[in-house]
Amino acid sequence: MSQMKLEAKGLDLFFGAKHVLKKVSIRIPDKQVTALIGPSGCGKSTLLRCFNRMHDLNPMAKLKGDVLFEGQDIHLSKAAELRQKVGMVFQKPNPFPQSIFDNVAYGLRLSQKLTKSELEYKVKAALSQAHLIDELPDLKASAMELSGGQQQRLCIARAVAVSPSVLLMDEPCSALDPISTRKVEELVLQLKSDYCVVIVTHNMQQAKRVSDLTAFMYMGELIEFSETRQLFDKASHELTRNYLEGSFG
Amino acid sequence: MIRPYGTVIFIVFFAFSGCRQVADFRFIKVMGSDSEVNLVLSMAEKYMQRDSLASIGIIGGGSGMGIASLINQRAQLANSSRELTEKETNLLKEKNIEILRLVFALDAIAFVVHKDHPLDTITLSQVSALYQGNIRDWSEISRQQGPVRLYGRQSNSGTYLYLRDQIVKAEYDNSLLGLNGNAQILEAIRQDVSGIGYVSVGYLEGKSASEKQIKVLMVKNEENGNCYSPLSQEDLKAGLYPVQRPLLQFLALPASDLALDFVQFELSAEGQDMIRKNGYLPLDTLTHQQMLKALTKARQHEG
Amino acid sequence: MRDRVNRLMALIIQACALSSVLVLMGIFLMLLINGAMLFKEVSVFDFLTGMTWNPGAFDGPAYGALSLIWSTILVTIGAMLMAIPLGIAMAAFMSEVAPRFWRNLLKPLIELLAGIPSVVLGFIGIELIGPLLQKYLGLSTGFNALNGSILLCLMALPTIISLSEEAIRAVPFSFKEASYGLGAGKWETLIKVTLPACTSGLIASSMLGLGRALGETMTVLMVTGNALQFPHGFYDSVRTLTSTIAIELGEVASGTTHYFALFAVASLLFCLCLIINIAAEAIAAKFRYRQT
Repeated sequence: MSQMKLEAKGLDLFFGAKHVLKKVSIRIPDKQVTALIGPSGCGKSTLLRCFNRMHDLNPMAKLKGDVLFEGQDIHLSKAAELRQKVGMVFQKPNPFPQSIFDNVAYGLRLSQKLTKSELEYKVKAALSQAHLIDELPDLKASAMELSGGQQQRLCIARAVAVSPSVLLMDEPCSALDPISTRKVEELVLQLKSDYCVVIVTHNMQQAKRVSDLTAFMYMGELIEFSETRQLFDKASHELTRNYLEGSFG
Repeated sequence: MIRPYGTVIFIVFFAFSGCRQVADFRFIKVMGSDSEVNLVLSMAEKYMQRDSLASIGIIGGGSGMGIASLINQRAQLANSSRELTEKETNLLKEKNIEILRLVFALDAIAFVVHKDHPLDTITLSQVSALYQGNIRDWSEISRQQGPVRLYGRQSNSGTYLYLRDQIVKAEYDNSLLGLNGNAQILEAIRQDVSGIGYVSVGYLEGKSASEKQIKVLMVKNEENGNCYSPLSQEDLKAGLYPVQRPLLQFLALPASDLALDFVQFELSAEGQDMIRKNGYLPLDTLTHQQMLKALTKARQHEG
Repeated sequence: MRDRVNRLMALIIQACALSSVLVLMGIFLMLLINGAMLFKEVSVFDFLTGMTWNPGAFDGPAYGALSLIWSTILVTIGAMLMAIPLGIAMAAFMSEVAPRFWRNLLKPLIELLAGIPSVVLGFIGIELIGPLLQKYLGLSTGFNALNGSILLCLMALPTIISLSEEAIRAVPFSFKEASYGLGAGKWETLIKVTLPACTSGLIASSMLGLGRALGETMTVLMVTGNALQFPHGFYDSVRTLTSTIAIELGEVASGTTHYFALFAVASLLFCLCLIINIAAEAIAAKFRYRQT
């Protein structure tokens, strides 16, 4: 098998005494959308956050096992450098209380020394990737005045602006209406040609619509991981079948 | 039968005790100088602790007010940090009020500079010129170069007014620093070579000037006159030091026992000790004896 | 029955609320009416623009409050220039950067600072800060506006720190998460995201600190030298509005021009505080609007 973009090997994670990820091993390929599904509290968001070391912010979190990015242990490089390559979009749209332009430019200003025109070019490119450029005539307007869907797409633009190679999305549509959801999903499908996308979702239909691969997690364990169609049509594990049939979750 | 007796006894007791109180309860009112009011008040409090039937009311309002209330017979004793004016003397004569002039303490004002300051003596006209802001650089009157910094008190201080009206005889320069008290001025001068300040001599007592790291200036009346030191008891007693004033009281005659006793207390060793503790000078032996004599005479006047 | 009790309680609470407003209005009216009496004898223009304040002067009283106003502004500005950056930096350090140990150590210390009586601070100003200023700035005396500013800065710091810390803590974690997610570090997140996100809170805390500094009397009185001159800088002695009232109210006879003049000074101080509060509200509201 070719080198994977992201890889977890026998990953255990504890929050204090709580064992939230149990021996998770997963290999996520590039230029595909991988969905993580499972009932609430199964650890899918927690697993996602392992990939860009978001748990570093929580002093209670303790990690065992290996997480690899492009074959390298992520804990060997600096967290900030890793996060520039492994971008993240959060469950709730969280633009900064600043202008639209400043939001998108934030990551660029941190990592790169750009001239004003270069910066402007990159910001506009990111916004057009997120299909926002036509909707937002005034980039100086406050990001807080946008609709929820626009805000979330702005957050995606902000994440892709620094040209990461992986995009982690933590239930990006859970706070959005169906139309905005559709727009974000379309965006995800377009993004996969350039990025490795990992998306956590509680919406099985969404997983079906956007993902190439799907992982099913339950109680902190990775139960099953295969191509999306195969998992949905003929899951090998009984838990997966029960979950997909809606017996629980 | 018993009960009526008891009632009668009670009534008699009350009547007698009432009489006793009326007879022994004594009251005097002392009015006048604001600069003396705290000193006299503290002595009155001490006196009243001793004599629980005595009541001494102390009111400020200024020397003029005190003397006026003596004239109007609203007070028995007037505090004054100055002598009577001619007008006041005439008014007293008109009203046929005899008074006794008492000196119960002395207040001398010393001028202080930093211990490294080359100046040793200062004339009154230099003091006036300095405090008016007419001399702004020390080189005009001493070997020291550099601007003069004036230290003084806030406008609610009696010394502030005394010095302004009697010595400076003009408004202070507006760069005068208004500090909170004598001790603060000493502290400031200790640290400032360019400063000059004035303090009550009482604050210089106890420690020597070199211990306090300040220099107390000798004062001359005029350019060729003799210099006098506020630290010299002889100069002070002889009244030679030019910036001193007696703290006065005027007692209306004939005076009540309480008024006489209170003044006696002021002149006693304990009273004079309190005067020292309040930052003023106790009386020299000569004045002290004169005052005691005058007081005895006043008692006879009454008898 | 219960209904009646409820209504009674409502009435009592209303009365309490109303009475505090009435007391405030009463104070303001008293200041204003007494202060206005001054202007029978001194013109408003002379009062506000006169450079000399000396009601008990040897050669006739002068009621020019400009030097007092300028003194107050000078000392307060100096204090704020030090206290606002320092206070916000301390607050940010405590809430975002410091390990728990330091936070637990600093917080009670700062609360302790708030509890120091102003007279004690004044004493520190005379005994410690004054001589230090003399030594290191080569001044002849430590009784100046700068000394007052430093002490007022110390007095305003606890207010600014604790309120700023609250404001910083109130910034949603999601903002920080987003910033970290984009590769920002602790400091970048703090300066570029967290602090800008709570600007209105920081302004409010600074203004409250300013109010504290403006009204403070004792410390300033003790260390600024109280000279009547018009101050030209931080190394000059100043006499603030508050000090003037404190020094002179004790010796003034009621009903005199001087008495009314002190009320006019008090009204001035009241108005100054009012203006600052209104400005603070306006600025804070503007920033709030931009964020939502």
